[in-house]
Amino acid sequence: MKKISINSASAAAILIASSFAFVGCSGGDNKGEATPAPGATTPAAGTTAKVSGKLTIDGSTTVYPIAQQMGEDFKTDNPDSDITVNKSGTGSGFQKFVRGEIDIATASRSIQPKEDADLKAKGIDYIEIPIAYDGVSVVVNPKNDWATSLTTDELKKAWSSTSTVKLWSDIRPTFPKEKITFYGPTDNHGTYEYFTEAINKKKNDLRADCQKNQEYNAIVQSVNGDKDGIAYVGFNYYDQNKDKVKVVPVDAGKGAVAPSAATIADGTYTPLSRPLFIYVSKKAYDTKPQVKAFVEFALGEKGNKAVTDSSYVLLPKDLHDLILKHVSDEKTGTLFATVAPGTKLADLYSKVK
Amino acid sequence: MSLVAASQKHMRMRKRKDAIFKVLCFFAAGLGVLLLVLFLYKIVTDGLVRLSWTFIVSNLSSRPQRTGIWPAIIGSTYVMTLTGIIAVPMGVGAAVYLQEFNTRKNRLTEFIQLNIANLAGVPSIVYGMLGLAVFVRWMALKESIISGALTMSLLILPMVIIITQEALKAVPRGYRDGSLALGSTTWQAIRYQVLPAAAPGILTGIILSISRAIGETAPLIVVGAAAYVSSLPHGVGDRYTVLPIKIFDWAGEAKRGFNEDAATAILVLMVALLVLNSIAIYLRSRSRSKA
Repeated sequence: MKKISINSASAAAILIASSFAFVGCSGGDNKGEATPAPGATTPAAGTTAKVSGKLTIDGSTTVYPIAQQMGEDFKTDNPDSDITVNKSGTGSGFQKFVRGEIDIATASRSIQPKEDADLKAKGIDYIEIPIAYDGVSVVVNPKNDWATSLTTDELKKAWSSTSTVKLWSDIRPTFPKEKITFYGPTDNHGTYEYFTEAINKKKNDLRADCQKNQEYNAIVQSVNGDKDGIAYVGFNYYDQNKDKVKVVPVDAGKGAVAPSAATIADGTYTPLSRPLFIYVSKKAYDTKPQVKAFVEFALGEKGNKAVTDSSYVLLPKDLHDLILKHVSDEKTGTLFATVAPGTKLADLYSKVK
Repeated sequence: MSLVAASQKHMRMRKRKDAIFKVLCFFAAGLGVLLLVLFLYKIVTDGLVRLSWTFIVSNLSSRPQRTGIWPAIIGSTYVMTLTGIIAVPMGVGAAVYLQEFNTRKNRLTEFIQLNIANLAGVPSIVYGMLGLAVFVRWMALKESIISGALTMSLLILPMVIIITQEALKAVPRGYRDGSLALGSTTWQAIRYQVLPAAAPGILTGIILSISRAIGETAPLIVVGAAAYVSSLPHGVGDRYTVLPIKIFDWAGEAKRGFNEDAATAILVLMVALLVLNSIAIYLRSRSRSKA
């Protein structure tokens, strides 16, 4: 018990000290770091005490571009730090996190109850931080002129493991009688788990003849070369390949909505818009100043830029403020493990006292 | 009369078969060359855009236009040097033992020989999994340069042994006999006669083995070569990345500009491989002109 109180006392001291430093250089605007306002507050992060030391990040392929840019820019601000970012996949990332091999796990889905239990068994506390939105995008070949929208029921009918759909016309009778081919990411991708849960209502439930690939570019290429192909990819892969594939707006009962920065952020692109996470080891956060500094950096202006530069979508301001508070209160554990896809995130945080 | 006609007809058919076979062989040979030329053309046209000294010596970046390849070059150099240091003495030693000291065939050496031949054909990813279980986890060397180098050493060890054995076999019997007849020990005969005579062949084998290892990606992904490192490695215990990992990584990136970076990195890797292979060819030709 005593040890814990010392730890939290020193953590509090660091927090106070760093917030003083912050107030000192940004002229009293202690929300400056959080606000994604253009320009103005950039020097704030740069002039806070520089940190050094190693920091290892691993996990989601989807989150990798964001994490890499954050790592790179953090290194620019803190030249003595040493950042490693890898992309083994969300599941593999959590395995390494459980083994205590990494400081931060990135994830394109929330932590699973099993992973949470494994971490508890190892005595590893963690802070869960949503850092961006992604919209899983259903894409087809540009020559496909019939699939102008699909309802979630039609998607389920096509993608579930019990699906009998063989031709496009099996999905909707007005579609042509062409054989349909399914493409998607492999099982180690969080995107796979999220899509199957959101559409087929059961995690990892997917038709067996879906051609799975580890690389999203390969999936995009497959659909580009197959007039009757259909696939699901992360929003950034659709966004960067608009000339190669066409997106299918998804209708969840309130009209068809295509994924875009706006529809993903305000939650109207449902149920396929999802938060992306970083999970930070509480121990590393408390004992390694570079980890704490990195988390502050990630939630700051340059972190936001890493999100938008990678074609992902920023969390709304009110939600971002809730998350900042959650982190600065050093709340550990997960809010998301048992949450159904499409839930409004702000509601989750408002429930926490 | 009819007999002659028949034989002429027969002859024509045989000649035609001959011609068809020749054309088929030409296409078989030509297809390989054509594909290689197409591949080289695509890589060079894509890669030359970004190729510059700055690209080679710059740090990795998430911006396709700004990224360099230096940490990967240093990482590859680290891993390959260490791999050589580990695998060469072990491989050459094993080959000398099997070829020179243990010349009488027995169950054990036959068993070892069979294993080495089989190991040379094991898919590289299997070595990666072995490396992950043994070096990264069990020996707790973490995802470091030394884990990668040890894994790569295992991968090229069978190749080094087999090629060294071939080189030793090519040394005429008389070298050993002559040396022994003059009163040398077996070790002296190997050290002063056999090894120097086989050296070019052994070196060629080592270089070819290492140039194979330079291009390997799969085992290093499994033992944890990182996609992005902000700093150069300072020692063998540090995290690292290598050229083929960066190529693989960039080829899969969503941002378009990374495709050119991947092509440029392939160019850099190919030049490195060509240099290594030319050294091997030079050594081989030198040994031939001597003999």
